[in-house]
Amino acid sequence: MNEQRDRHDDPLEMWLAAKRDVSPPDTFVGDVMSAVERAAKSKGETTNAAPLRGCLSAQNVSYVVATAAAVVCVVRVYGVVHVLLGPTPEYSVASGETNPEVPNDKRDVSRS
Amino acid sequence: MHDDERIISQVLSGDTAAYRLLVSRHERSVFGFVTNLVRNAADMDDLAQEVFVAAFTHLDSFNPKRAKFSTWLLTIARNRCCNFLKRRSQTTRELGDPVSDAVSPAMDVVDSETWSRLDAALDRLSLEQRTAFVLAEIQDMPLAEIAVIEGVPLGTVKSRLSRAKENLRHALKDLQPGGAESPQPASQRGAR
Repeated sequence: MNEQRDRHDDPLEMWLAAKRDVSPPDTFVGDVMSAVERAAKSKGETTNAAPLRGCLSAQNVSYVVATAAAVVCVVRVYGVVHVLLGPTPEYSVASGETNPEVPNDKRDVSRS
Repeated sequence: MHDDERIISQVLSGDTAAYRLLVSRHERSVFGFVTNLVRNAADMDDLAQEVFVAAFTHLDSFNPKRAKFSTWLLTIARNRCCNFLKRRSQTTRELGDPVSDAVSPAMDVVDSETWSRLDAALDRLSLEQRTAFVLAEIQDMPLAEIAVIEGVPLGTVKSRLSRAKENLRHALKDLQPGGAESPQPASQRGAR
C-alpha cells in the first residue's frame, strides 16, 4: 500500500512482498513450449488440409461417376417419355395447318 | 516493447521457437498473476500454461497499437482466471493456499495468523476487486493499464482498489494489540 500507512501496514507489506516473490517452476517455459509446438502442429495440419477441401479426391470418384450416370439415365428416360406421350402438332386437324385432300384427276400436272 | 513486436513478427512468419523468448520474458508476471488470483496449486500451472498457448494461437489478432503485449497477455490471463473462478468458486476456496507454503521461511518472522487472515480476506474480495488489487499491488501495474485489462474506466479501477484495500485492512483490524475487537477464534475466520 502506498498511501495511508498505519500500524497495520507492516504485516501487510510483508505479505505483499511474499506474494510478489512467486516464481514459476523451472520447467515452466519448457512445458509451455511443448504445448505451443503441439498447438502449432495441429494448426499447421488444419492449414494444410484446407486447400484439399472441395477438390476431387480418390474417395469421391465412384460417387461422382455414379451421380453422373444417374443424371444421364434420367435425361434419356425423360426424352423417351416426352416422345411417346408428347403432342404431335404437324398431324393435328384441329390446328388447321394440314393441306386439303385433292383427287388425282384434279391435280395440276402440267409442266408449264 | 519493440523487442516483443519483433519477436511476434518472427513467430508469425513461422519461427515457433522464437516464442520461447516471449514466454521467458513474461512468465513471471503471468504466473504471479494467475497464482495470486486463483491460489489453487492444482490448477494455476495449467492455467498459466493455457494463457501462453491461447496467446500463441491468437497471436495474429494482437494489435500493438491498441495495447502492449504484456497488457494483452494479462487480459487473456484475467479472462481465463475469471472464467475458472466463476466455474469453481467453491472448490477453490476449500483448497489450501500454495503461496503461503512457498514462502514458509518468512513465516518465522510474521505471524501466520495475520497472513492467513489476509489470504482469506483476499479470497473474499469480489472478482473485480481482487483482479484490481493483484494487478496494482502485487504486479505493480499502472492503473491505466489495469483499466485496459479490466475494460473499465480509470475511476472504476481506483474505486475497486480502494475498497479492496479497505477490506484487507479490516481483516487485520482485530488482530492488533490495541484493536477495538478481540481476535476471533480460527473457527470463525472467514466470516465477515
